[in-house]
Amino acid sequence: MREVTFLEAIRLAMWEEMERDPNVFIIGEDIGRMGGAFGVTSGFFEHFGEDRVIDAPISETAIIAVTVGAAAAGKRGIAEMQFIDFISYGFDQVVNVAGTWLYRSGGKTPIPIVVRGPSGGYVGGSLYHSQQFEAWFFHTPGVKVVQPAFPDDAYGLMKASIRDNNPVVFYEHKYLYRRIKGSIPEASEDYIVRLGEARIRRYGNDITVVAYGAMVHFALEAAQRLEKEGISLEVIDLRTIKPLDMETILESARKTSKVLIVYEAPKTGGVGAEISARITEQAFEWLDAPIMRVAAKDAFVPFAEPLEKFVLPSVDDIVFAARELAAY
Amino acid sequence: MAVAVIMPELGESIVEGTIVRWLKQEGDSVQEDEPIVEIMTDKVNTELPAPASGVLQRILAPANATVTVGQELALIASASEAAATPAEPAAPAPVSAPPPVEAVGFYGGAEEPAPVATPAPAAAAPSDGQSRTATGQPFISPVVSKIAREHGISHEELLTIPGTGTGGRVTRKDIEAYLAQRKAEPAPKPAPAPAPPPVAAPTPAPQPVAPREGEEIIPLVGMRKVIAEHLTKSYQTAVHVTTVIQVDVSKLVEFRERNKESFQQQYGVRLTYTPFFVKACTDALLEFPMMNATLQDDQIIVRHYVHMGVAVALGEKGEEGLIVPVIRDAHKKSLVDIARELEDIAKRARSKSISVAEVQGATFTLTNPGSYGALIGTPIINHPQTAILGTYAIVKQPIVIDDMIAIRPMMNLCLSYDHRLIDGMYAGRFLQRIKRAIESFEFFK
Repeated sequence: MREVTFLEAIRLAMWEEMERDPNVFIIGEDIGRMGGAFGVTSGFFEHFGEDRVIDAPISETAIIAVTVGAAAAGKRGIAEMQFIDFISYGFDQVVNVAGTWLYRSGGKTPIPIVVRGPSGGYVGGSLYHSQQFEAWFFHTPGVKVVQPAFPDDAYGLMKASIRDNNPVVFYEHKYLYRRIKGSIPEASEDYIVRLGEARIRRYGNDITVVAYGAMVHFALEAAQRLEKEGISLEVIDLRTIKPLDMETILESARKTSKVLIVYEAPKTGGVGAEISARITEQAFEWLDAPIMRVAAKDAFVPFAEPLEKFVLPSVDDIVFAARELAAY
Repeated sequence: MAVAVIMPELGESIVEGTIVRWLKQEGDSVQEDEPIVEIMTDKVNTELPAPASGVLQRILAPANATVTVGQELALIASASEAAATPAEPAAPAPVSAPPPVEAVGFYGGAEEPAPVATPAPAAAAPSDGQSRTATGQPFISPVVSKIAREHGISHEELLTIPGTGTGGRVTRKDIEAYLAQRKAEPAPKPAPAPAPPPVAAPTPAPQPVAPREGEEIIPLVGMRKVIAEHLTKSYQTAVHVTTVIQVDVSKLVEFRERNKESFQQQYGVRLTYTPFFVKACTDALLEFPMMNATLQDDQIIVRHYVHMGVAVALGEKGEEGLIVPVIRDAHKKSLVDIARELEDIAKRARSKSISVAEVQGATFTLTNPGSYGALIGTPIINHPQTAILGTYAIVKQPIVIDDMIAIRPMMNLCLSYDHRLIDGMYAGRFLQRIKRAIESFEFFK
């Protein structure tokens, strides 16, 4: 076992996959000589060389398009978005090109790419460096969406994403990069975390909390606080947002009959709405309270710290909502 | 043609009431003038007689529903009509229906028909703290409903389970605890064996509290229930604040001592302090009309007349509650008139021979905790009035007058007022006005 940061877990996963498979390459802005804006590809350029670690011009469209074209020719490209917010420039490549390719080719040509980058707020990053637009790709056919919360999952999910034959959008919460540490298996163990499987990070009886990314840590902190009040939360870490592991969610919902969904993106039209709808469709008879959501306000993430705190969900928000549900 | 039972005007200020219980059920036959429903208003509970003989075809306002004056409460069909129509209750006829039911509309039927059984289960948003459906029935969540079904728990039995959820809702944990307890009991009780008393819409059954040793359980009913609800409403609505002022009542005490026998002889009425307070207060109210107002929605109803409510405790120890008879048009009455009327209504209040009209419409209330020695207090406003004045015990006290110490009978006047309408200075000036009237004793000018 190795004790690493969240960031280091992702770095090691990519490193080991590139060692394992010569078809894997990485492209992005400043990822070569500089080692990436956050240092995720530190040392890659020196080790793997300029053919496999490609410094790209500032064009997310081109970065993603290169991986798509290379994938059609048999490579496995990793496209780094310096901030995942900028994926909007490469939106068409993901949604209309990569996402549809397997279908358009009659199932002949898979597009195994990973579009990854730092997401989320709580670091004073403001408009272009704070967003969580996972719902866009959650809505898109042909694309998988992943967001880990712990180093072991980040490590195992990154490896699985690189090996997966579908386009994967991989959200790395920048708030977790260096704050969260944990142990990951040795390279020799060839450890992966299969996509599409949620993980219960804390068992409880009163309320099911479904979360992903940084919100898992918020939910766990809320659970710790509420334990003193006699309210027991079960915290599900989705890990993969799409495909959604409804089995785990439903099983927990049937146990607690009360569900709180926590996500960092604007509340309206978010992943929480879909989860809520599916629980209602598939386990309505098991509910003892309305399904509730804690999410960001329907607003941009402002720069000023107090405003950022106001817009984004907090541990307090989760505690209050859970109390309300417990009392319902 | 069905005859509608209409919510009548039960008093001049009464605009709505609450259905306590239906004494007749749908399908029961009723005689004209036979009581069919019990209605609670701000002041009293009353039974409403059937407007016609026939069959109670349909109840439009279930128990606990709040109904406004003029609203339809039920439909009574003639016996022959009832026989002809199928038992299934017809949906309330919409206005546009070609064969119009005559009884549909006091308001022309445009009003929404009373929601009799609208299934509105998950309408309750927890943030609103609502856990009741539009009909006022407790909300049964899907999982509780499912567990009840699986364990053969009837709706009636379900309503007897103590609920710990919002608004007393039975939660999943409650029903599971109930089942576990039922299982633990050796012989499961035949659940709803004795026919439950016919209750129209199942009101939330009182949780059966078992009295422990040295305790007894008294159901909250009748006047106590009305008082409880009334005071709660007042306390939750008005922004209460109390201001206290001390009054030197030397002249008042002296006058009463000197005149009480002659007054009794001349007018046949016992001379007490209360008429003076009614009089002083009434005069002050005319000068400070906001004290005599009611805040209703976004409007302030200011009155330039005074109907003075005077609280009368009932029972030797005050254990039988309290009623507030009203001296109507107190501003037009002399001190003697007031004294005479006070004695009369207090006596009839205690003998419970007072009519609804006599306890309605007060614009201000006077209460006299001084009668049982209380020195100071914070009376609760008699909703929807704006203020209440408490007169407290007269006690001889050393006070400083012109830098000399004198012994004077002193009394506290405690005014509780709705701070939404009345600011502190206005209240202070109002009290000063009363103080001046009493201290200078300007009653017989």
